[in-house]
Amino acid sequence: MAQPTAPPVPGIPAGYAPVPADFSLWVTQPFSFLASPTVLRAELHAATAWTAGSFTLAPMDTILEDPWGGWSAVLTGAQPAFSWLCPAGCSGWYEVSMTAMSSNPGTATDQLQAVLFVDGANYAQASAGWGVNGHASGSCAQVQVPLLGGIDYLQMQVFSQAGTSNPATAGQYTTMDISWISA
Amino acid sequence: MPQSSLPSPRTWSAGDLVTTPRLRADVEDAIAFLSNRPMFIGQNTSGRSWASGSDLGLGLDTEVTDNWNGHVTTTSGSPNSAQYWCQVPGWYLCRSAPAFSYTSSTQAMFAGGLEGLSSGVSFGAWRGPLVLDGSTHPPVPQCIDLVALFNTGPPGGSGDYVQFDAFQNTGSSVNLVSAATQLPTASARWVCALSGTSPLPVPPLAAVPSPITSAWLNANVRDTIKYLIYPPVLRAVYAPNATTLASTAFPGSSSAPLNSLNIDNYGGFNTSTNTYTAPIAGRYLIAGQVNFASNTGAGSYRCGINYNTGNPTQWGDVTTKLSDTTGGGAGVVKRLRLNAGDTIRLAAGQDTGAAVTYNSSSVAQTRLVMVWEGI
Repeated sequence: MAQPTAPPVPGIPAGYAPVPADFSLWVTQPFSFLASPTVLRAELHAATAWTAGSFTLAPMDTILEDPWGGWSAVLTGAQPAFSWLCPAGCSGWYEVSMTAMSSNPGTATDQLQAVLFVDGANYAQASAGWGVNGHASGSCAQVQVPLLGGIDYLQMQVFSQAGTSNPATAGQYTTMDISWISA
Repeated sequence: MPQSSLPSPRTWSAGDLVTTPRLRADVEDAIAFLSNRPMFIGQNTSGRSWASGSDLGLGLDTEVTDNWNGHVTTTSGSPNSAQYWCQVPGWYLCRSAPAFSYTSSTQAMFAGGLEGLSSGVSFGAWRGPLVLDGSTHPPVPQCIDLVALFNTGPPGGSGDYVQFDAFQNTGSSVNLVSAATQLPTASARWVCALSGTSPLPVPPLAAVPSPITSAWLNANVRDTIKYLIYPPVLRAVYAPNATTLASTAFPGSSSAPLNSLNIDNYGGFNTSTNTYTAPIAGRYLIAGQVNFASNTGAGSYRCGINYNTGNPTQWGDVTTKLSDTTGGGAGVVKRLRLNAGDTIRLAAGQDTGAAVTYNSSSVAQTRLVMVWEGI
């Protein structure tokens, strides 16, 4: 079954004898969406380099779930590589949680940021953590963003003051998850 | 935009007429509410100077969204724009994230926080992780927590409210960040009713039979609505009992002590083992933080999630700390998909060379919040 879209409030007419198909439209489809709203959960497992003092795209390589198929690792006519396109019909407010991880920065003045890009532009440097001189570092955050279905796309970028890389170690992956929270 | 109050669906009996008013009262109103739950997001664009040493209200001069009009728009005095007032009773997932223009290499402590009125009683300030920073780059502390708001009322009126706070202790004033991509931001969104029916199964959302039966209506309308307005939710906190955390090389971790519950409506948490056992399969938002007392050691503080037994800790914040007199901490926020019976523990770690005591102040709690978000 195709994934339902974000529901409009149904208009239930008076003086009308509904059939099962009406109840599917009024009840099953909207509650199916509300019980299982749009989601993406993605991780980066590869030891991707984080360029010092720069925003670097996190090329997520492990998609844990993306039931609406919004993720693309390649450039398409609708979205750039390594981005999540808000599915058509699923406009709304989304909440994004991100964890930026880096290998040992090797400096006492490192800062690591998890950054959300919307439609190719910096939307929020949502976290900023003091990197650890000696072992892997992490910085996590949450941010809400309004998206238009079929138009807006999200990317996670990592800002690291030091030249480091994503730790290719389970439990230390850079991650991003996206969930619809409101019309 | 349509709004409704908290849904209260009827129980259907065999022979009931499926009338338009009944469907509108149940289906239309529930979908309107669940699609447009109270939600507020605001920002401070002033770059104003922030005094040292006090939890101060984070005035939010710009509304990003406020779909139920609960935000106070007055920017000075009391009440003021740091506050969001309850429009529908419930548990609200709140976040306060003030970025500070602090670029010194001298370590100082920063925090977002929450305070307010809950059932007419003052609470807070409750800070998020006590962020220690001397990185020479602006820190962005954040506090994520669940707050119970009982009494409704107009903004600035007689109801309950949450106030978003910011804190820094550099010893002198520090400006908030005014850059567009790091504006101090706060949010509150309704996630769960204060009471309800539990346990209920995950909504079956079965195909519509012909003819429509009362059993189908009860499972797919009544119980679905009741489940979605009262899903599994947890808020577990550390009630001080002098617990310490040993120094362990990264990536070692221990379960954070969580021995007091504010809400656990599906009975998933065991305070003896600090373990949440998922009562219902699905996707959960998990946000936690660990805070420690002052500690002269240097090393790292870290916070993560331990999922079932034998899996590596999934880390969130892993940050530097130097000798401090203020306390320090770290946080984590992630979404995980759990099967019923899967376990979650809040993971803590530190490698400052000696054991450190968990912070005993109510201002600087160690806590875990979880919210079921979807099948």
